[in-house]
Amino acid sequence: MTATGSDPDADLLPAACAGDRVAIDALLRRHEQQLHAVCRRITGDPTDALDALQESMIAIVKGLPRFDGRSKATTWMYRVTTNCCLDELRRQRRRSSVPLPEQERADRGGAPSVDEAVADRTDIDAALAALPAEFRAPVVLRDLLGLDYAEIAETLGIPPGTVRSRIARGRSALARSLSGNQTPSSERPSVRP
Amino acid sequence: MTPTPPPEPGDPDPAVADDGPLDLDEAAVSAVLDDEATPEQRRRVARDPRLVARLSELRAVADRMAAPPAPLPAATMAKLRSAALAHAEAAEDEADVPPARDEQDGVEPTGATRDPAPRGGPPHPIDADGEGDDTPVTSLATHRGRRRRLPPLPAVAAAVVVLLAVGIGLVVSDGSSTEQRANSGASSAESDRSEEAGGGGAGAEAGDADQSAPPTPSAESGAFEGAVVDADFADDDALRAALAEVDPTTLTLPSSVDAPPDQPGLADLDSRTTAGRAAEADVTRCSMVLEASDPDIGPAQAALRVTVDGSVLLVLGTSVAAGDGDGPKIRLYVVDPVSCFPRFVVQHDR
Repeated sequence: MTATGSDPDADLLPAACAGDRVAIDALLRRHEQQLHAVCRRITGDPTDALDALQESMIAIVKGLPRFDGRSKATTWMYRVTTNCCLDELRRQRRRSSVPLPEQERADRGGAPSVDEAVADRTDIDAALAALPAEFRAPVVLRDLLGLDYAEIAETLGIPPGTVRSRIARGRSALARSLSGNQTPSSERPSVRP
Repeated sequence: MTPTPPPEPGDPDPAVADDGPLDLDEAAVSAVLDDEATPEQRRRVARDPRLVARLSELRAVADRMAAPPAPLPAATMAKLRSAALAHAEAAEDEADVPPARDEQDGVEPTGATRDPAPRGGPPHPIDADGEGDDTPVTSLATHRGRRRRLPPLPAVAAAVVVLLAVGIGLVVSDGSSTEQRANSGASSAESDRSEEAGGGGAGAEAGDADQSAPPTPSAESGAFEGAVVDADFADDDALRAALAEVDPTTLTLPSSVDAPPDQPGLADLDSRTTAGRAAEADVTRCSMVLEASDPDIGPAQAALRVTVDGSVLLVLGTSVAAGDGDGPKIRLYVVDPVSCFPRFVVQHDR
């Protein structure tokens, strides 16, 4: 393992890669909420997100001794996590299950916007669910994690040009879905004279 | 124009595909939004009020997407982490070899060509609402019915050597009958593990047994007859701190660490004694196991025998090829002298 000097996880990586449980635990703890957010958004379902997150953590722990440091640890972890989410979606597809309704606890302290926030998350889940997974993943990595196109390309193992087009197509579809307009943009009435 | 029926949840949007023509306006707006636009795309958006309005629209969508989902409770996360660590340890015990990097990490965009590797439904220790239940976290390996893989060399080697050691020890030992009974039990257990993991390899190598095989550990304490101990430590942290200061090439402990009185250390062991032979054999065996586990790890150049809270551990100083141009490093592996499994590692840069 050759931890990149600029890797913000360089303080934990050598020990974590050597199997130090404390370091591994700290590394997971540092990124677990982000990983969960990725799982939650890509799978679109709380239960599936937990399954994917569990698989992801296992894969990360098992893969750490082989992590070669060619990319940032977070990039690698997002890649593993995204793969686990896509695997989870494939399993779901085979089981032909319908996504469960939003079951997350809105335990953020009784703010008046909780209902709205939950409804908004439900809308987003529904809109994301309508996106094919290969479009959903880059949009989530971009908008949720703020990765740039190059990082997304590295994370997903696809060319940057594909990332660019998938994000554009995916985001257009999301906008249509969230606004209740299912008509593709090319068929929408244009304001252009 | 035919009206499009509203999609059902989970139905992929048929308008979203890689093969259709990409709307250049949408591509430009999206790229501007992500600050990834070319100068031409920026000009294209800036001079068209419709695209400027579309930019605001997409920005609102991106802002909604950026809102993180409700975080999981800390207890749930702790369960997931511990389950992952437990699973990894179980996998180590099962000699689970991780798949190749590309196989494990690569994303197959369409899923059409990638082996889906079907797995059973995952009984999850966490409720769907993110709350943990009272069910103890167990290794997922027991639930998911993963295919069994061949054990790694270190596990087989360790099992074989322990088996040899126990067998030879029983033959040459003049120890007490109590110890012999304990050893017999250990032998039986190890034999079972060896047969499960590696088949008949142990028997094939039994004839090559080294006559200097070590005495076997006590069944209860793991301590060896005739202690050879360089230092005592209260816990892992104390040992870790000492190893951080040690000269990694000689493993000379800091002066603040005192050797236990009336006990020889590895440096002054006598290989004619049973304890000396045992210590030497442990070092040799664990060094070989470490080398076999990773081609970058060299043979042990120095060793210590320590106790941590009463348990005997070996510290092996090995040179490790860095592979990144930084030059070799020295890793101090703290290992169990019986199984040779690392407990933790301290790395020194040369």
